[in-house]
Formats: sequence, C-alpha cells, structure tokens
Amino acid sequence: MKHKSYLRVLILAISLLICNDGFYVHAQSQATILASGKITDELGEPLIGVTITIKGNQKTGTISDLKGNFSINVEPESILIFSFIGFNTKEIEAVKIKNLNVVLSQAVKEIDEVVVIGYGTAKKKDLTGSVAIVKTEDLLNIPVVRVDQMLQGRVAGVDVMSASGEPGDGTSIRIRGSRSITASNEPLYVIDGMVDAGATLNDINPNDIESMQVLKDASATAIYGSRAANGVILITTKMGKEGRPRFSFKIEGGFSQLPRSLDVMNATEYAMFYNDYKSMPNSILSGTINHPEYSTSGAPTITQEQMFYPDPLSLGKGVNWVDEVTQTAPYQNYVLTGSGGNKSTKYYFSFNFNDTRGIIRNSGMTRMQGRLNLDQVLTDKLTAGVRLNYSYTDQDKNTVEIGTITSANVNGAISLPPTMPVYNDDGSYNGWNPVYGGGGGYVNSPVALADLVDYQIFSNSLSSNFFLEYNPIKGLVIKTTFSYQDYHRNEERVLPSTLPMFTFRGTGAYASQRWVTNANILNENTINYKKKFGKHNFDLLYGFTYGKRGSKSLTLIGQGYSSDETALWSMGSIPDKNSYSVTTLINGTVLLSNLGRLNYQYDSRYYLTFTGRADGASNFAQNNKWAFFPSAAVKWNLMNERFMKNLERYISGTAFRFSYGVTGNQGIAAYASLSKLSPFNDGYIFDGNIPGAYYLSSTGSPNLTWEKTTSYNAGFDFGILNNRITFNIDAYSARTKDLLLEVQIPNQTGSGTRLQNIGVTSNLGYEFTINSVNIDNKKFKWSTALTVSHNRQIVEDAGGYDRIATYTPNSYTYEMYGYKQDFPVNSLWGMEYAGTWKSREEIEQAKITKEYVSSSVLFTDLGRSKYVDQNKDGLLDRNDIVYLGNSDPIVFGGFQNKFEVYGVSLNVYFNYSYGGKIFNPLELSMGSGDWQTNQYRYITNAWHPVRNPNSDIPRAGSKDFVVSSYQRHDASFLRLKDVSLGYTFNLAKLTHKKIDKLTLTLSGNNLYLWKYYNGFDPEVSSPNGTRRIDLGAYPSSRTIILGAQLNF
Amino acid sequence: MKIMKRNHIIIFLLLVLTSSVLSSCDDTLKEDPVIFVNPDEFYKNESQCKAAVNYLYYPLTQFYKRELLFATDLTSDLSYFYGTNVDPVNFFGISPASPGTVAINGWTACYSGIMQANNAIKGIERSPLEDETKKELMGEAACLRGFYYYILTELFNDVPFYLDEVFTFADQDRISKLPRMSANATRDSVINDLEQYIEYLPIKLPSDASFQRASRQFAYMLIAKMAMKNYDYALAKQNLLKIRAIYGILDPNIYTIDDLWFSNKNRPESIFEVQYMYDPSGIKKASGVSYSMMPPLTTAGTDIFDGVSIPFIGKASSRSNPATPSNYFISLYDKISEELDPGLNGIDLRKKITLADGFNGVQFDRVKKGGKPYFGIKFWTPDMISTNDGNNQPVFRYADAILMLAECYNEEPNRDATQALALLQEIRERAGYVTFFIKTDKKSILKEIQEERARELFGEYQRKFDLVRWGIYYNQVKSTSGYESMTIYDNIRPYHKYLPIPDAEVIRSKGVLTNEDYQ
Repeated sequence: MKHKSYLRVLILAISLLICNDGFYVHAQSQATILASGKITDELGEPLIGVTITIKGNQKTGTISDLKGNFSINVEPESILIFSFIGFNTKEIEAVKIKNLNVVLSQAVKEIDEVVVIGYGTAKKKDLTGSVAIVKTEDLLNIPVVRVDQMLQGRVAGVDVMSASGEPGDGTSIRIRGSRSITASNEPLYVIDGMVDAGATLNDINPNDIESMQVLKDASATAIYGSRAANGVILITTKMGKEGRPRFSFKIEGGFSQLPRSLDVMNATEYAMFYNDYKSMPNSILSGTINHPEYSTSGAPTITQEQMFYPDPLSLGKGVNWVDEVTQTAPYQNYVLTGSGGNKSTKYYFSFNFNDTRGIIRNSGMTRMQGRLNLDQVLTDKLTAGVRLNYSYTDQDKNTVEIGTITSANVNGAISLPPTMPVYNDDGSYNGWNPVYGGGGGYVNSPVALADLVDYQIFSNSLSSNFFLEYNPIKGLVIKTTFSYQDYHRNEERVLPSTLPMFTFRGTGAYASQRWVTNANILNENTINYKKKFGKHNFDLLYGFTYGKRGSKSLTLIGQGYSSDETALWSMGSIPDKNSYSVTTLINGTVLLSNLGRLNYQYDSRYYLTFTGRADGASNFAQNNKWAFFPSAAVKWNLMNERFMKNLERYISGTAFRFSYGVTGNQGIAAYASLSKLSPFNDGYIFDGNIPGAYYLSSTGSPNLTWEKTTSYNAGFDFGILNNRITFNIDAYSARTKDLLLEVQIPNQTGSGTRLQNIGVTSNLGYEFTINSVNIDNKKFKWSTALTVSHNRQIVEDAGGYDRIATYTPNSYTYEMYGYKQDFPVNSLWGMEYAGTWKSREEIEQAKITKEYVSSSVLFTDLGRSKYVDQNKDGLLDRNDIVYLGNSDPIVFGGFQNKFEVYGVSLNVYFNYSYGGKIFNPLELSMGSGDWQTNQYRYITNAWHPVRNPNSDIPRAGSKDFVVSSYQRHDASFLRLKDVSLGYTFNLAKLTHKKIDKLTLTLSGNNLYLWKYYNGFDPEVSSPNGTRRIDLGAYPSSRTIILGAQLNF
Repeated sequence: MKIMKRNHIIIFLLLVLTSSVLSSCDDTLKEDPVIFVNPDEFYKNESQCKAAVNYLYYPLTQFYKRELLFATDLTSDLSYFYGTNVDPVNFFGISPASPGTVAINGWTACYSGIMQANNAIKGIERSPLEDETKKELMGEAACLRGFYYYILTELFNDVPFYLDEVFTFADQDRISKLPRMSANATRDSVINDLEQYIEYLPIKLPSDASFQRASRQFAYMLIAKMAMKNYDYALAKQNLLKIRAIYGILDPNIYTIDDLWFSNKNRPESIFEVQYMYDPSGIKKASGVSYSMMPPLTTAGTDIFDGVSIPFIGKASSRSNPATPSNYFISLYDKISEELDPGLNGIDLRKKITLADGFNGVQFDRVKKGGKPYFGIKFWTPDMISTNDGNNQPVFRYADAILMLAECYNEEPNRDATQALALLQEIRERAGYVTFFIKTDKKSILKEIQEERARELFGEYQRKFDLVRWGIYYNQVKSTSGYESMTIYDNIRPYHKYLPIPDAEVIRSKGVLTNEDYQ
C-alpha cells in the first residue's frame, strides 16, 4: 500500500511540472458555483493528479489532490472535463457536481500494445498492414503438443486443418487461401527471428510462447520476400521481467479417445452381403440368381449350406477392426518455468516433459525440451541476448493401415471384413483375409502390425539465436543476429518375420534406418533509425541477411534377416545383398537478401509504409537468380482527426488501411532447374544382378522463376463503447502468376511432366473479426470473439491445359481432384450419379435416349450404377465428368466465449466451416458393393432383385470404380473444439507468500462434431499436400485433460 | 560524440560493404549438386556410356509382362479370359478414354526408352571412346530403340517417330507436335538405323551367362520382324538366314523341348528374353504372368490346384482366375494327332507343356467333368510366392525365326515350298513327330504355318501381332474365342487390331494425335 502512495505523489509532482501555466489559480469572482468531489478508479481507489478543465476554456482548471479530492469554482453552465493518463476522459455538467464521486474507467490497454512485426516491432495502433494477433492466453490450456494446432479458427483468414490425428503430425495452414498448385501453400514460420523454422514446430513448448502474430497482407509480409506469399506466422518466446524470481509448475494428465466410429457392417450383415454377391451372376439380365430364397429364373441350384457363409446370424457382430486397433490413450505434460531479472540481466527458462499417446495402439510421442532465454545489458549502448531451445522427441509412428482405396484396402482397419478373426486358434495373429482377391489371401492384419512392428523416430533439435544490439545514439539501433539450427532425426523400423505375411512367405525380417541431419545458418544484420520531427515520425530499416540451409540423409533398407532381434543393428548381416539398399542424399541452398522499410507517420493520423526485399537464391534458375519484392501501405487513423472528437464517446477507434505488394513463393526445390542425369539402382537384371545405370531424370529449365503474388488489401478497424466492441474488416485480392507447375507433356517426349512457370490463380476474400466484452462487472464477465472468413479462389489460367489432375485414385482413369481454368484449385471432379438400373426396359430405352450410361457393357445390368451421359454419346468417359464442388469452404471461422464468475473461468470455443465438399474415396469400394472389403451399413439397403428392387444403391458386387457424386459429401461442420474450466486459488496469504496461486483447469479438445461427412472427420488432409482428401488418415482424437499449475 | 559518430559511419559502411560483397558474389548462389551429373559432364568413359545403355533395358520391364500378354495372346483366337471386370473382357470395350493398362504403360515405357536411347546414342557419339566400342554401344542402344518402335507400331500402328536427343524444353516442344507417322515408314527408318550398326554388334547368345543384351541376332530378328510386317520378304529372309547361320538346324538335343518353359532361363535357343527374378529375400522383379496361366488354387496355403497337388508351384501361391484355352487352340494339337494316328492322342510334346489335363497323372476336377484343360507347365513358376512370377519372358527365340523363314519362302515371289515345308518339319520333329504335307499350295502352307506358330509360340507375345499381319485378326478371333465368349463376339470390332492412343496423350498433344479408327 505504501509504495502505491509514493507513486501517486510522484504522479502529482509530474503533473504539476507539466502544467507549467499553473492554470488552477484563475478563480473568478462572478456568479460561480463550487464543483467538488472525489475521483476514483473503477475499484474505488482514489486517483491523484487528474486534470479538471472547463470545456472551451482550457486555461482554467485544477487537479485532484492526494486523496483524489478536488474543488473548483466555475460558471454553472460550464462543462468539466476529467482527464488522466491511461484513463478514459469524462465530461460532466458542472451543476451536477456536488460532492460527486467521479469514476474514471481505465482505457483499454490494447491501444498501445506492442506487436512484433518482421524485423522490428510496432504499436498495434500504428500497424499499417494486416496483422492478426493471436491471444495466447486463450490457447494455454489446449492439450495439444504443437503450436500450430492451437490456431484453428482463431484468426480470421487463416484456415487450419490437422493433417492427421497422429501425435506429432503437423497441420495444413492456409492464410487467405491457396495460391500455388504444386509449390507449398504453407505459411512461413519465424520463431524468435529464425526464418523458415516451420520444421521445428514439434520442438517448441507452447507454454514458452509470449506472442504469436499472423502477417497476412503484402505490406506486412513483403519484408520476407520470396518466401512470404503464403503469409507469415511470427512466434516470439517469453522473456523474464525485472523483479524477484518467479516460478511456475504445471502438471497435466488426461486421456484421448476415438471420438466416433464409422457406420459399417457387422459380421452378420457382411456375410449376408457376401452371400448376395456370390449368388448374383454378373449379368442378371441373362443369368440366374443362385440363392436358396430368391431366384430370377427357375429353381436355384444352391442350398443355404452351400452358401459362402451358410449361417450369417451365427457370426454375430464379428470383429470391429477399428476397435481392435484403437485405445483410450493417456496424456501427461509437465512444465516448469522460471523467470526474473534485474536492470541488466533478464532470464527465462523452461523444462517440459510431454507424453502423448496415440489413439491407435503403439503410437505416440514423448518430448523433453528445455529453453533458456537470456538478455544482458553490456554497456549503456550495447545489449546481447541468447535464445536457446533444445528438444528431444521420441515418436512411435503409427504402423497400422487405417484403410484407403489403394492396396491398403486389403488390410485396412476400416475396410477389413468383420468375418476375419483377429487371432488363430493357437493364439497367433491371423493373416488370412477370407475375401481378399475373391478367394482369400494373406495380409498383415492391423492388429499384427500394431503389435509386432516397431517404428520409432528419434529427433534431437537445437535452435540457437544470438544477438547483439548496439544503440549508439537515440533512435538508432544496429542489430546483428546469428541463428544456428541443428537437427538430427533417426528413423528406425523393424517388421519382424513373425508378421503373418512374412511367416507365410518365409521372407525374414525387414529393417530400415534413416538418418537425417539438417544444419541451418542464418545471419541477419539490420539498422533501424527512428526520428521524430514535430508531428512527423520516421522509422527506417535496412538489413541484409545471409542464410544457408543444408541437409543430408542416409537410408538403409534390408529385407530377409533371419533374426528379428538383430536385424536393425546388424544391417550388414543380410543373407542376400540384392535385397539391401543404401540411399544417400545431400541438399543445400543459399539465400542472400537485402531488405528495407520506411515507416512514416504524421500525427498518428496519416501513415505510410514502404518495404522491399531483394532475394538471391541458389535454387533459383541460372537466368533468374535475383528477385525483388516491393510493397506499400497507407493508413488513415480517423479517430485522431479533430472532427472526430465529438464522436469519441460513441466511437473509440476508426482507421482505414490500404496496402499493395508483391511477394514470392520459392517453390523451386534445390537443383530443380538443372538438367539431371541420375543414377538408377533398380534397373534391369543382367546375369542375376542389377548393375548401375544412368538416365536423364529431368530436363534443365534455366528460365525457371519463382511464383509471384500481387496482392491488395483494404482494412477497416472500428471500435465502439471504449473499445468494448471492436470490429476488424479486411478485404483482399491477390493474383499469383508464373505458377510452378509439373506440366503434363506428351509422353512421346519420353517424359510425362516438366516443371514450368505457367498459369495464374487469384484469391478474393474478406475477413471479419468481432471482439466484444458483453458483460463486465465484478462478479460476472463475459467476452466473445467471432471470426468469419471467406475466400474465393479461382484458377485464372491453367497454361492452356484443359483439366489437370492433382489426385487420381489407383486403377481409375480420371482425376478425382484437379484444377481447370475458371474453377477453384481444389476442385472435385466426377460423374453425376443417377441411381441404379431397375428394369430391362429402362436399359433398352437408355440405349436410344442416351440419357444414362454405365461404365461399360458389363455394368449395364440391373442393380448396377448408372450415370448421366452428359454429352449423350452412349459412352461414359472424360467428357461426362462434371464439377462436383470445391474442397475449400465458402465461410469458416471460430467463435470464442469466455466467462468469469466468482473466479471461475470458462472458455468455450467452436470452430466451423461451411460450404466445402469432400470425397469419401473409401466408398469406391466400401460403398459400391465391393466384395473384397467391408461395406458401409447403408449397403444393407442396396438394390436386390427380390428384396429391394427400387433401391438406388448399387447391388452387391457392382463395384465399378467410377468417381461420382455418389462419393461426394458436404464437408461443412461445427465443432465444439475446446472447452476449459478453471479456478485459481490465491494462496499468497495462506502460505505467507511462499506460493502465489494454484490454478486448476479441466479442459477438453475436439469434444463434439456436427457434420454430414460419413468418414471420421471432414477436416483431413493427405500426406501429399492436397487438402481435404481422406486417404485413410489417422483419425483425430477427443482429449480430456485435468491440469494444475502452481505459481511461486 | 564526434568519435562515436564516426564509428557509426564506419560500422554502417562495413555493413553495406559486406552486404554488397555477398550480394554481388553470384558464385555464392551457384548450385553445385553431387547427387546427379550434368549431362554435359557425362559420357567420359566406357563405364559411363555402358551405364547409360544399361538403363535402356529398364522400360522393358514396365510393359513386357502380364498386361502385354493379355493384349497379344489371351485375347486372341487361342485363348480368352473369364472374369468379372478383368482386363481381357474389358479389353474388347477399350476406347481412347479407357485404353487399358497395356496401351498406357506400353506407350509411356516405349517412348521413355526411345528418348533415353536417343540421348545415350548422341552422348556416346560425342564420347572419347574408340570407334569400335562406340559403335557397339550405340548399336546396342539402337536395337532397344528399334525394339520400342517395333512394339509401338505393333500395338498402335502409326506413331510419332524421332531419333533426336531431348535435352531442352525446345526439344520437348518440337517432339510434342509430332503427329502419327506411317508405321511402314517408321519400320523402314528403324531398319535403316539398325543396319548402320549391325556389323559392330557381337554375336553372343543369352545362354552365355554374361551376355543377356541386345546381340547381332537380336538386330537381325528385329529387322526381319519389321520387314515381314512391311511385306518385304526378301529383306526378312536375308536377315533370318544370317540367324540360321548362327544357330544351325533345330537339333532337339541342343535345343531341347524343355527350353520352352518360361522358368528355364536363357536357354540355347533364346535370342532375347526380358529378365525377371523373384527372390523374397533378393531381387524382386516379377512379370505376373504365371498366376493367370495356372489352374485355380483349390485351397489357399496348399498346393492343391483344382483338386490336384502340384508340388512344382508349391504352397505359397495366390489364387487367380485362369485363362482359358479356346477349343480351336486345343483342336490344333489334336488335329495333328488325328491326321497322324487317330489312336495316339496328344503326341505333340508341346501340347503337354502348353496345356495341362492334370499333374503327375492325376486329372484336374474340371477335366474329370469333361471340361477343358488349363494352361501348362510352360507358364508356371516353381515355388511361386503369392502372384510373383520371376520367370523370364520370351521376346525372340530361334524357332520363331525358323517359322518366319518358312513363311518367307512361301510368300516370296519366287516361292520355294520345299524349303518352307522342310523348315516346318524341323519344328515338328522337335515336337516329337513327322508329318507329310498333302497340300503344298501357298494358301495351305500359310495355314500350316499359322497353326504351327500357334502350337509352337502360344503365350510368347506374338499371336495378335501375327493375326494382324496376316490380316485375319477380326474374323479369326470372332470365329474362335468369340464363338465361345459372347462378350468377345458382341464387342470385338475390326479396329481392335490396334490399340487406341490413350485419351490422356491425345489431350496432352493438344489434338495433334488422333484416334480416327476409334471414332
């Protein structure tokens, strides 16, 4: 209490000094009244040194005294203005002021919040670009291992999707849509100044994060030049504050589980389905149904006993393979942090142990991580700092086939028939899939794979960043940083000889090792000069950087080891050298850059920013080594205009922003532009051996250039009721040209594709964020945040090519996903499903009308799929393919609600996505009557000549492998993403300040999902980078965590 | 204060200087890869040139296997395939939009081989090797290039043709615009190309373990095949006689009948075969042919095939639908027996290996019920694992050359029926019998040759090519296999004699390539 009083005296003294005119002595003798009272803040604490002036007569006034009291003689009709630094100004008519308690409310702090931007900082109110600030406090209790997973729906314009639910797996992030087709669309990560640090996200402890900014428009990102086109995510880690050491210790424990199951057949249903398939001839039109109960012509020749499954009912539910391989997985997390410092030294350190087990058996990840951040003032002009992060992770990779439409459908957990037992009678793993290939065959069952295969990835990662800051004169800062990243990964995998298929074939064990090392060096040097001339503010930045990235890898693979135990660590003991392979790779890039920025500001009203970066990159083609990326932005802060003063009580912030800029995408891989003659080790056999061979693997393209995105952004920031409600609206348009495409060229040239700069895409969208404090009183606080984003993306020019596939399922002729001029990049393509053929007459008629058609003569049969013959030529081919939607949503975002009641805090967060479309490729087999896989339960309602002759679901055995609207689904969803409930016990008094507080938190992640899609989750991406493709991804989990944090 | 300021300027200048030094130094940005070679820096010695030639064999393994056999033999007059939506039945529904795997893979693999061969030939030409070595390697590359063109013309008829190297985008653009060229002209060009190298190629046999490469005989055979397709019998004969000079008469003691088994690799009679090998703990390159040519597995995990134990195949194979010999084909073997000695059934030694009634004296269940035999041990894989067939696949062998020579004698303007019949006799003698020809007119002998080629060469990737060459493809298939399979009867069209160029290629060529027959 006491030091608080001193502070007040100090403020008073300063106020007195500033008010050098001594305006409080101009007392008038005419008819005046005495206005008096006490000024306090919202908590009732007296405010000392508040300036009280008379409106229209700034010369007259007084200030409040040490107890917050004031009195002044004024004319009765005058209006008094109460103003105080850090508080909102208040105006009251003098007549009303008689021993009045004037309460001043604290101005919302955010106004002067400092935000990290590329190569510097800025006040939030001075930002000219579109920069979203992620509220890290909302994210702290989310039980995920990776930072990027926390961002879902939090920032307008940022579409975050988990690539899979496997612990340690990354996300797919799109900032303002996708621009590129073949190059990456993932944003650039800058962690504590280390540019392009996205690979290390697994190594960052989310608790260490002080702030996270998402740079969206070109004005903000252009300073990162050729890597900035996809937006930039800036992450800054915590730093100690002056004062005594403060520690916190956090323990979290919980579990995760598979949130939902697929509606597939049980053993009885599957057996009946399989009997249906076996009893139906290929052509019902001309054949006989060989089923004891049904027959199309005459008596069946088969009895119930002769059916493949004579007694389906006896099979019961059978095996649910997904249940067999999934588990309720434990989660534990421990974090210890310490921070503190004095005037010259500040420190922050943390240790983290995290163990996240996966919902699929024997998968998961353990992380041990430590960080030390240290700032040291060396002289009054020189400061040095260190950021060190070390992490060790041990990932148990998933070894189970979940189920895809490719070869994995013969042993996928989703697609295996429920009639296949898990174990043999003797307790060994069963590998006999009774329906594989029509007559059965051996597979490695998911359970065998989960239990027997050992697949581990060990990573060591050291990130270090050293900087020196020299501040020779006021406003001038010369900074040099040196970052070094050292990363090692070792992947070890053993498939033992005891796997059913290996045992059956007698092939011995398989073992592989992969060693990867990456070393990245980055040196950045900047000079920053800030100067103010009157109302003119200048902020100049120049920098140059040198970056070198290198990676090496060594892969050893052997098959046929006689001992499972020694296979991995005596890889040379292979019986046959032909089944042993060694692959080595080395890869390096160098990037040189010059960068500059000019910020000009007049009176906090008019802002102007210019930035530019010139990048020279080794991976750029010979004739295009250097690239320049400029940008400019203007901002008008309307609020600081005089004419806005009258509106201040209603409107608390209004600004318009506009920016333009060019950014790049370095999608060119190292050496991609060179002509390559590569060694080939898997060639032709001569005399029982495969000798070395060389072949032209790529044609050189010396004119290859980076992709360029030109973008415009218009923004409007608006706040009302003292910024209790703020709106941010941004609209943007971006055009990307010189797309790097693997262009399909005629195979007669000897190559099927080549990398070329072809094509144009455009993005147009808006983003909308509302933050509001709905209720704000001592007992109950309720605040909400809502983001709404829309992005419309179109391929403007596909380089003269018709429709280019981005994903084609195996054994299907046409693309499932692809792009075409005037359609979105992530378009879905397929036939238009038209139900099943119901009668002979219908088939005959279709031959004349050419309205519907099947994939071939064979499929033009009762109960089989028919499709709309778009061009009425009687053939189902490429010309009948129609656009089936865009896999990217029309609108997406998140909705956050935060409540505080009597110290209990509750966070409820939803994210949503509306309007996207998704294929369920598994339905090509599991929804088509494919006898080789289990079926979705709806197949029980499939067409049947006797039982169900009106169904539009194709009959058993009618798999035609045609991609159509049949497999297409609405990917819209609403997800109860995070809920956390917390309470803080203030223990300072109880423990005599030994412990400050204890916070208990109960939180849940991915709690509920409202969706249309019949796969696990419509938020899914394939490993190849195509978005929203469900190729048997590891399902995402639901996680519940209880946590306790002690601060002392 | 002044000193300080000077320091700033110095520091600033230093920074700017360093930056400009780094920036201007474009050497920093030069890529120096060590995992591949720049083509300009290659072809410096013999082992490099040889490594480039080694690659040229690789595309063979991309199409010369199961799918090609379906397109040549298993959809011919000799055999067909029952299956729900398996290739061959679908085969007669091929269209540019769904041309089938052999059209897609064959097109891609052959042109990949051609491009790499063109580059290798030019690269070797520029190399500092001695002329002899140079020509030998160039010739080897030219043989493979020629073979790829041969296959392309057999499959698609008219195709784009070029012998240029492809190093730049401009090269690719030029080649992308090449339309179909007449197959006859292509064959003539390939023959001309081969003739300039043929003398440099070694006369070595595949049975010589160290030489499983394109030899001089391979070139002779290739020229003969293409010459016959162009109805230039004189040129074909000339080359075939050179082969005969190397191999001599078909002595059954040297060229044993067991040579016909695919599982017997690189036997004396072989001229060229595509090398495969499947070792579960070694090289795994499989043709996938066997499992369509075996009796159906009764119970998985055993060696019981349609009721009969076949230890030769073993217990680890997987089940598949078997291909079916046509009645016509079966009758071809029986016809000989009937003519020769009606009581002596199946005297033809080839019948016993090409077709199988049973194994070790036990009949298959199907045969017991009066059904057809399956295909025989010629195509089976010993100790087969799953569907992996490591047997070599025959391309050219001497008996083929003899039958071609017989055909040349019969077709030449100055026809020599005696020579033709003698050669036919030579083939039959090895098969275990001698016949006397009653009719010796041109047409009758051609028919004998057509039937003999069926008996001798079934399953050796020749049948469709032969039928098309004789101009009887449509009628012959329709009246044999088509008579047994309604799907074939209903769907076969005369234009099926050649495959359509895949739609994907037509689109990529921006309409330069067309499929007129299929429209």
